[in-house]
Amino acid sequence: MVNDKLHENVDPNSVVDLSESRESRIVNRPEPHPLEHRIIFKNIGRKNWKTDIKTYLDDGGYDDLRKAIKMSRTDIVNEVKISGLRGRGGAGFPCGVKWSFIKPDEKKPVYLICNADESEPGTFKDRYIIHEDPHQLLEGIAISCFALNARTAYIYIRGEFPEGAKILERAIEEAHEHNFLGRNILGSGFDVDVYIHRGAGAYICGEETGLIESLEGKRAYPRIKPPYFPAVLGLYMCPTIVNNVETLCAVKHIIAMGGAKYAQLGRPNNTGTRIVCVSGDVERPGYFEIEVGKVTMGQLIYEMAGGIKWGRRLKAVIPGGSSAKVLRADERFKLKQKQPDGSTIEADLSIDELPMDFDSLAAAGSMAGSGGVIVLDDSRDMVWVLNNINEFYAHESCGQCTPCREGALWMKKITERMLDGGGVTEDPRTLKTIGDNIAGRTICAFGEACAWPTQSFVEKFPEEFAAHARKSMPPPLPPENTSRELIEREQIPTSPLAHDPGWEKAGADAVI
Amino acid sequence: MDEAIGHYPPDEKRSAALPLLHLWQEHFDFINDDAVTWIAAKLGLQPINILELVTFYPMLREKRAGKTHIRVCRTLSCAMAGSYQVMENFCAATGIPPVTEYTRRFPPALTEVSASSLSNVWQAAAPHRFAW
Repeated sequence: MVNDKLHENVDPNSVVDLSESRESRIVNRPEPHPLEHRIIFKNIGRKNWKTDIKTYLDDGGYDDLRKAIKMSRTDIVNEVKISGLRGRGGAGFPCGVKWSFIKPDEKKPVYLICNADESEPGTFKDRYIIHEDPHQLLEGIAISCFALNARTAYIYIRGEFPEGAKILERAIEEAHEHNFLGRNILGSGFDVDVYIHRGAGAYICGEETGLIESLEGKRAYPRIKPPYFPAVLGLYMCPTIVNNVETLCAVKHIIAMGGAKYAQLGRPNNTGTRIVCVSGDVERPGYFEIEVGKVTMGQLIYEMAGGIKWGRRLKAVIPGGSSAKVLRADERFKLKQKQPDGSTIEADLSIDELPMDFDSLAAAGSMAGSGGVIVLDDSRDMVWVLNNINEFYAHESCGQCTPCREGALWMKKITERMLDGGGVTEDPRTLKTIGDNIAGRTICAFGEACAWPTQSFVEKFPEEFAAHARKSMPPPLPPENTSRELIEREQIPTSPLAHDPGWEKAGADAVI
Repeated sequence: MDEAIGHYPPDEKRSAALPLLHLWQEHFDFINDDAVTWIAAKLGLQPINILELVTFYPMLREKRAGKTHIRVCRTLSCAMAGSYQVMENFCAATGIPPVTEYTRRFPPALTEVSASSLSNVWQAAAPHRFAW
C-alpha cells in the first residue's frame, strides 16, 4: 500500500514508479475458468461493471430483498437451513444452525455483524466483494437482518481497506436513498441500520468474539465459549450473529434460487459454491469460484491455476489459509466416499484427487478453512515457510493466554534460529511439544491456528527440520543479551533463586 | 466525530473509541497524549481505555509518519511472490532502512524527498506475479 492506495501484483523492479503513484492499481482479470461456477463472483471482473447502485439495479439487484421481505422470518431461516450453507470464514459452521440460535421472541436487541476483517494469509476473496460488488453484500445483510429481526448491523472491515470502507459507505448511502436500508424498508415496516466500523490492523479481530470486543471499543481479547457464545452473549451482551462476507452474499443467492436448489450444488453436507484463492508457486494465482467438492485439488492447481511455475514439481499444499495443516504432495489419503448408489467405500486418494470440500479436507487431516490455497513447489524450504507463518502468528497473538502468547513467540524464535544455522537437534521435538501444549489449551481458536502449522510441518517434513537442526548446542547469546547483562541493564531486582542454574547443568540432552 | 458516536447505542459510547482514533490520526497524522486524554474525555472513559487501544492496534501510531507511507505485505503468499525483494528495493530506492513496526522506540525516518517511513505490515495477501 502506498498511503491509502492498494497495489496488486507488484513487480519488485517497479518500486520507484509505485512510490510516486497516486492511484490504486488493480490488475486485469482473466475470464472465469470453465470449471468455475460463478454465483457470488458473477460481477467481479465483469466488463463495465461499476460499484454504484444503478449498475446493480439494472442487473436485477435488490429483487431478492423484495422477495425476502414478503416471506416470513422462519421461512427465510428454513431456506438457509435447507440450503446447508456452511460458514465461509474458516470454521465452516452451518449458517442455518447458527441463525436458529436466535429466538424469534428475543427481548434484547439482536445484532448482525458482517466479518469483513479478511486477514487470513492466503485469503483474498472478501476484498473483491467489498471493493467491486458492495451492493451484493448489503443486500445479503439486509435479508439476514430481516430474517434475524436485527435492527442494527455492523460491517467490521479491516483497517487496511480504507478504500473499501469508503466504497461501502457510499453504497450504504445509495441504499438508504432507494429505501433498501433505513426506515420502513420497501414498505415492510422493518427498520435496519448498517454501519461501517473500521479495524486497525489486528488479525485477532477476525475471531468472532475478538471482533465483538473490538466493536465494543476494547482490545480485541476473545471471550471464552461457553458461556460467551455470540448468539447468547454477544455485542453488548446481546444476541449477535457474526457471519463472513461471503456467507452473507450466499444468503442472498439462497433466497434467489431457493434453499433446495442451492443444496443441489456441491456435495451433500458441503453444499453450494465457494471462492478459493490460489497463491504461491502457480502460473495463474487468483480466485476461483467452484462448487464445493466438485473440483479436486489437482484440477484446481493444474487446470485452473495453470500448474506449477517454472516447470517445477509440487511439494506441499496448505489448503485453507495459513492456519490449516499442510499436506505433502506425495501423501495418500484414505477417505470414506459415498457412492451414487448409497454405499460408502474407502478410497485411497492422492493429493490431486482430493475434493475441495470441508469434509474431505478435514478427513485428510487439514481443513478447508477460508479457502486460501497456498501452493509450495520443490524450491521452497519448509523451515523458511514455517518461519514466515510463525512470525505472523507471533505478532498477531493478542496476549491474553499464556500458551499462545509465549508459545507462538517461542516457536518463531526457534524457527528463526534454525534458519540462521543455530538449530539444535532437539528443536523439532521442542516445536512439536510447544504446539501440543498450545492447541486446545487456549481461550480461542488462535491457539490451534498458531500450533497446527508448526505441528504439521514438523510432522510431515521431518527430514527438512532435521537438516536444519544439526548442532548439539544453541549458539551463544550475544554478550549484551545474556541474562546477567539484561538484569544489569534493565536493573531488574532479582533474588539468587531467580537465576536457576538447572538449565546450564542439564545441557543439550535435557528433556523438556 | 459526533456522527461516528451516533452509530452506536447511546450508552455504549466506548465503541466509538476506535473510529475516533482513526479520525484523529487521519487529521493529525499520529496519536499523542493529548489525543488520548481528549478522546477519553469525549467518550466519558479513562485515558487508559484509549491508550490500551493505541498500544494494541498496529495501525495506530504515536509518532508522525512522513508524507508517503509505504506498507509491504510480508505474509506467506506475498513473501513467496517476492515481497521481501519489493521491500529491499524500496529501501534501496529511497535510502531508508525498514522499520518492522511502529513502536514507541522507533521514530519513522524522514527524508527531504517524497517517500518516508516504511513499515512492513501484515496485510491480507493479494495474488502476486512477477518477472525477474
